[in-house]
Amino acid sequence: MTTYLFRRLLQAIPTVFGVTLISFLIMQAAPGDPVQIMTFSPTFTAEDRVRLAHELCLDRSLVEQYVVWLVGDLRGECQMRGIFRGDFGESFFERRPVLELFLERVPATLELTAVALLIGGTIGLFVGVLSAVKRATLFDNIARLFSVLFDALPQFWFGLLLIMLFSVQLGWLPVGGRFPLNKPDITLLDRARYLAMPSFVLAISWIALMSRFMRAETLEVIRQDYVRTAWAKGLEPSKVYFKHAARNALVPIVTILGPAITSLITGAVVIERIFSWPGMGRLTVDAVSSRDYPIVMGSVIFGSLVVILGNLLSDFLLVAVDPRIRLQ
Amino acid sequence: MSVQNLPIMSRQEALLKLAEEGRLEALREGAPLSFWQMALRRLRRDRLTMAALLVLLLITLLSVGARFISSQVLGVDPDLTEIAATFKPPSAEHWLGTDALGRDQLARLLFGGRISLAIGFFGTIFTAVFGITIGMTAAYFGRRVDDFIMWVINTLDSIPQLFLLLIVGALFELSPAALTLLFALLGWPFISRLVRSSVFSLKEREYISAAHALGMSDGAIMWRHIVPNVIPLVIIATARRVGNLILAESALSFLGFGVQPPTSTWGTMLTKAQQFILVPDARHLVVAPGVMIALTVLCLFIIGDGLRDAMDPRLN
Repeated sequence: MTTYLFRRLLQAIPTVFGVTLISFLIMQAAPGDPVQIMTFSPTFTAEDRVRLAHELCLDRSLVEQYVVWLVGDLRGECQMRGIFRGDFGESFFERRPVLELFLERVPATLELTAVALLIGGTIGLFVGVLSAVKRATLFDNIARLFSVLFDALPQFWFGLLLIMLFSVQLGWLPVGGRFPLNKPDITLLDRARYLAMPSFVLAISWIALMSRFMRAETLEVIRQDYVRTAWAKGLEPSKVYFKHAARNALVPIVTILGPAITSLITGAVVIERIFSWPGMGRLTVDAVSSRDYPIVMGSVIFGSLVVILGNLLSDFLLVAVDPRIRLQ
Repeated sequence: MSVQNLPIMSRQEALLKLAEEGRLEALREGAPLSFWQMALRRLRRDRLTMAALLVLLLITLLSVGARFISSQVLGVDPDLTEIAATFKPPSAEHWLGTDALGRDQLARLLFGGRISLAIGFFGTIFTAVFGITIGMTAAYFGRRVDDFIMWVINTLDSIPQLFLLLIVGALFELSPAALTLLFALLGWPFISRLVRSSVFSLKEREYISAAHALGMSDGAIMWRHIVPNVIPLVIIATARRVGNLILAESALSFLGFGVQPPTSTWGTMLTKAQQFILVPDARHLVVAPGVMIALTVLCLFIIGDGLRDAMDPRLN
């Protein structure tokens, strides 16, 4: 077990290295000189620019710049400490450390994705198991139709339609934001009202994936002997389906956890934009628009780390639930 | 069940499977049907897929004939702005109303479909070509080349694609053709992974050894015996890709980093629509482009699933 985990961890190292390389190279290829962007105002002199370039180690060779960006300047001439030591540089426009900006925004994204995962997981699980149990009935067909439809709907459009209906037309829910800005004490209900639409929109693709997955897995499981035994013992249908069948059907879900995490953080980028949700996604989109390179590079690495960790977690859980894999 | 986990099946095995399913008569009547004829036959019996194909064909024809339809049938110019006629509701003159600049919504919708569909189709084809070539290269050369390609694949797979699309889209202002290529450049890894692993297992088959023994060159074996066996797998794996690319393009354009105005795509039309979401007269603008995206993608997904079922007898 430990050997396997260790080997998987080792395998992640070249991947992390590759991610840093790609994001560094894209930024190098990007038009526009960072120093020019930062010193756009006419109060800066040519000497200022040279000094700034030196401080940021931008006057070195490409390879040296990359190394400095990764591990910091070992000669101590410029102030960069390197991303491996948590220094993602400073935002061009906000003039604050990128990591600080990230940490400010993470809770909002975490809140959104966690609630979406919960909504999607619960609905998907129940619909999937029921679909399998009631195979080829009206319920099953409708559920399957919705699972394809939820995949085909552009999330941002679905979000717009919900805003039009619930915010503009009916006035029940706020158009966007995370909580009311002009209210002194914010209740849980306030938060739920703001969270309702974005988290549901983010959840739909997860509902689709989860219900399809649970349906297929449950169909496999309910044919097995132990389920027949459960019936023979005289258990109620709900106990047989949700306690005995669904539990085992859930085991392989760890295999789709990785892709699910990727789709959630990707989805969050679009949804945070529509609903003005102050999370990582919006920070990224805004930074891309204003060409705030340190933030952009930071978010690529941050997003990739989440994906890599998600895949690792998925592998580890799989080993934990299925001992056969260890031997391979 | 993901496609990667399925065992690899040769055409002969697939044929046998098909024959077992009561289609023996087809084999007895003279010339046996090829794998593709079998798949086509199954596809034709699948009514849902055929219906989706018909709708998609209609959407494609409407988009391809956008210029003719808008000038001859609708009698409007999609780029003609009319300040006096902004946000008009649907009428006899403008079937789907007009937008913020007084342009005919239906005509723009038809033209928008061209770009979206083209990006989806060509993006997928390029993705498949890159994926097959790179995957076969990895499996064929093995060792260092394989290690390097796997490293690139793992790396690209770890970066959320939307992030890369956003960045490249924002920094370089892409034309629709460049965007198509970008989708392919980012999308090939999953096909390569699949092709690579199936080539590894196909290489060990007896008929490949037989071909070697008969003196066939490596290149000829690849082309004649390996590629035909890999193609069905690739089609199954990419079946939903076209729809996914159309969704990705629309999301990217919606965020403002995809296709740039004045070229209209369904995604850019929605960006405009969102800006006027609080204008009561402008609400109709939100509906149509979204319906077109959803309908097209839905058809493509149904066709994709139908293709998969038709080519993969194990699933039935």
